[in-house]
Amino acid sequence: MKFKIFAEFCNRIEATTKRLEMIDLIVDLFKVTPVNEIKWLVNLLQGKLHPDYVGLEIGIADKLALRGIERATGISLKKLSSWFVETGDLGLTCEKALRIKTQSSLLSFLGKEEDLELKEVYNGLDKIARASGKKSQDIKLDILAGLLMKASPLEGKYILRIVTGRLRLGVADATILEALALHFLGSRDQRIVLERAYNISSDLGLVAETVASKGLDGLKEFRVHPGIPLRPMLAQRLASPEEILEKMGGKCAVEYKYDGERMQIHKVGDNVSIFSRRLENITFHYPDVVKLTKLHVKADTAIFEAECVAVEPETGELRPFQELMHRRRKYGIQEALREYPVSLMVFECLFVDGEDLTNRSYLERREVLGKVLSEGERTKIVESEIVSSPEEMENFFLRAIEDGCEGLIAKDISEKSIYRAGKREFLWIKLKRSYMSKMIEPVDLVIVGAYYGKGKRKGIYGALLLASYNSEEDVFETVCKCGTGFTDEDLSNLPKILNPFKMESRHARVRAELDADVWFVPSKVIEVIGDEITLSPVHTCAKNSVREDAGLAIRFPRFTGRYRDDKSAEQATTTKEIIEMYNKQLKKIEEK
Amino acid sequence: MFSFMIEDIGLFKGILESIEAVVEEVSLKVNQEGISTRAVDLAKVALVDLMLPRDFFAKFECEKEYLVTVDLNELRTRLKRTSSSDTVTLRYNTELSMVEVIIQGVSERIFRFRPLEEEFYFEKIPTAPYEAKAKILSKVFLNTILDAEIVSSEIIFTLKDNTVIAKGASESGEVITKIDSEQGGLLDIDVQNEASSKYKLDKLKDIAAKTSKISDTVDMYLGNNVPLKLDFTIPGGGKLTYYLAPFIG
Repeated sequence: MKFKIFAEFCNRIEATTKRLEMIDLIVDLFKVTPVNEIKWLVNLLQGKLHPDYVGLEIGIADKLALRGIERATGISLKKLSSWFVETGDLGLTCEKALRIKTQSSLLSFLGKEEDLELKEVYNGLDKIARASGKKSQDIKLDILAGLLMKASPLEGKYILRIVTGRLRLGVADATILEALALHFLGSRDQRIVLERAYNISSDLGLVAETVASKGLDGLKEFRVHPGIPLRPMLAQRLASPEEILEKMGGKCAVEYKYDGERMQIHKVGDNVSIFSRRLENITFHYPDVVKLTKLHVKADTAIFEAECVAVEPETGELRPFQELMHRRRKYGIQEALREYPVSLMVFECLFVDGEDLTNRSYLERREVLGKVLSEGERTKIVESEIVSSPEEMENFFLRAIEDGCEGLIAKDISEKSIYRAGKREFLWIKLKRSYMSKMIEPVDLVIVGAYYGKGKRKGIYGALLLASYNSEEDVFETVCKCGTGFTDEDLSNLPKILNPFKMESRHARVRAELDADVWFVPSKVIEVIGDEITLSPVHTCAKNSVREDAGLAIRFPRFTGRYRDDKSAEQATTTKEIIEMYNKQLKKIEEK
Repeated sequence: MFSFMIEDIGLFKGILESIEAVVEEVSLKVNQEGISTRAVDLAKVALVDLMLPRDFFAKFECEKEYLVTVDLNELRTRLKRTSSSDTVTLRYNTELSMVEVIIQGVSERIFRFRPLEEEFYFEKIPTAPYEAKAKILSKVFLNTILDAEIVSSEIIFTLKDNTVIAKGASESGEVITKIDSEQGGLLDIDVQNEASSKYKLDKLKDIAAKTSKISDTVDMYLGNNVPLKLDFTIPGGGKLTYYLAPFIG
């Protein structure tokens, strides 16, 4: 197939504003595409070469692309750059340059010059994507220039948009699926079969090739395959436990919803692959998760899903999601691994030793998960329980938040609760923290208790129990546990500083529902900053003031390094001030 | 199986480097006549064409025609392990499907590596009406290009009145080189009609720099807006030819 046909259709698709017209155009394009080329065509229509999970991007930066145009056309970089600034579009820059090019191709002196083939462009781009090593830039440049040498201005425009990741025809997966259904299966309704194949293979090109070559029967042969990610099942959202229970038929399972990175982990023998929610292969960034998988998954072949969360190495406390993003770096993986260790909170099991579990019910999958996964310090099955009243769900919700989660996921437990890959339906419903208050200033809190450390912090205090001062009742109310922000020196000095205030049991003026390993007379004040103030079922600060049975807690508290020896315990931040801070900055977070 | 013993290892390495100015991987055609390769760069601007007759080698054995693709850098790194007193033989071991570099000196060493799967031997060569040709000293040719590069990324060659004129020009200025027989840089010239064409310097510079180490002279063929053809005669027999696509308009 000539690439110019593809380019011409791209031009027409780009010009249309109507979705149905777009589908018709894609159907027309399918009509002129040979079966063995449809896979490339479908990928190129989406501006890619392979499904996302392959993790191979073309990756040509603007500067290199401009040099490619320069090499192919002989037009100076300076001129090309000015055109690029004018149009803001490398495709148009290339189109213009090819219209007035001065550099000729040797091929034009070798007899008849041939048109670019779709296959030729696809293979060229694939070579660009695969080029590595110290000469890779030159290789990319030469291949791009080689394609542009043969390209017409219109073809050049689309080649440039594809290599720079800016094709943006707006052709969504669903649009292609619909066009495939219409052309190869004769009706839009047949989309469901195509969708299923796509949801478990995550490869639109393969689905297109299969339906084109083998029809409906070929699609029915699609199976879950370890090593190839499924499109993840997603959750609907509702605002209250009441609504959720009504939707779920009065009873459902609830699970902690961690604020981490969702991972789909595939184990095939000793081979472990990790895919992100968007199905990118992120195995490279998480060698520790690979290790945990090998250690805790007792099956030879398995697919499961987990939330990966950053944890404080010494205390095991959760760290904010943003810290996890340090793990997505290209270099210094080992350093990142030490600085930002993670835990796996496993919540799904989709495949075990040859058996596809996606058609089994939630409770059955959970049971298999319990058998296949041996829990450890860094690998746990997510906290869950079955609830049948809004109160039970509310309590679970508060506990989840107190434990550092962002909310809960309610899951259908009926027979129909299969794993619906790629679907967002009411089999899963999320309830997220609806109240959050961003903390923008530090607070001075009183040390009322402490917890012994583990690991490196063994023998010293690993975390402190901190309280605000309730001046109306003259009591100290706990507001957080803080184990972050302390230097090694701080940690070794803490016993010396605090032991003079040590007590046998909780001080009478300390109001606490948590147990500490050691209690202190409320005396020492330290400065702490947190990420936000949230509702809490266990902290006593402002208990019942904002909501019945709930207090306030500081989320992700960190010691700023300032000992407020200038302040007495009664001069610490008051509970009233915490309530004010909470109310003042309270805002409904936009649901993700 | 084929095998050939290399007489002058320094020269052989120089030939490989000269090919690398255009391509990094080549398919070597080996038959009774010798070794040849013909390849076009990825950008399709330059073509390299090499012929080394069997007499170029100290020993040459080949029972049928082979096409073996090698990564030139890979081959050169093995050849780098030789010294001038070593005897070096290149062999294709058909049983193992491996290329072997056999180095014989105070010991015998055999490097084996697998050839590449892809084959790319370019069958055609550009045809163009050449109006003029000139034989120039390689060193003079290289200096002409290095001078032009100071002011421009392109060069215009003109052959007229028994003189080779090279011009590099940009907004920052220009440089003009005249090569004629009086100064000794020009050894021969044959101008049927005046000819002039413009070429990009990047590849040309690489070609001139590498070939100046293996050949004392270059035969330059020029037409109007046609590929530049450069012929380098290799000592000991053999020929290395390049074609470079012109700027048009």
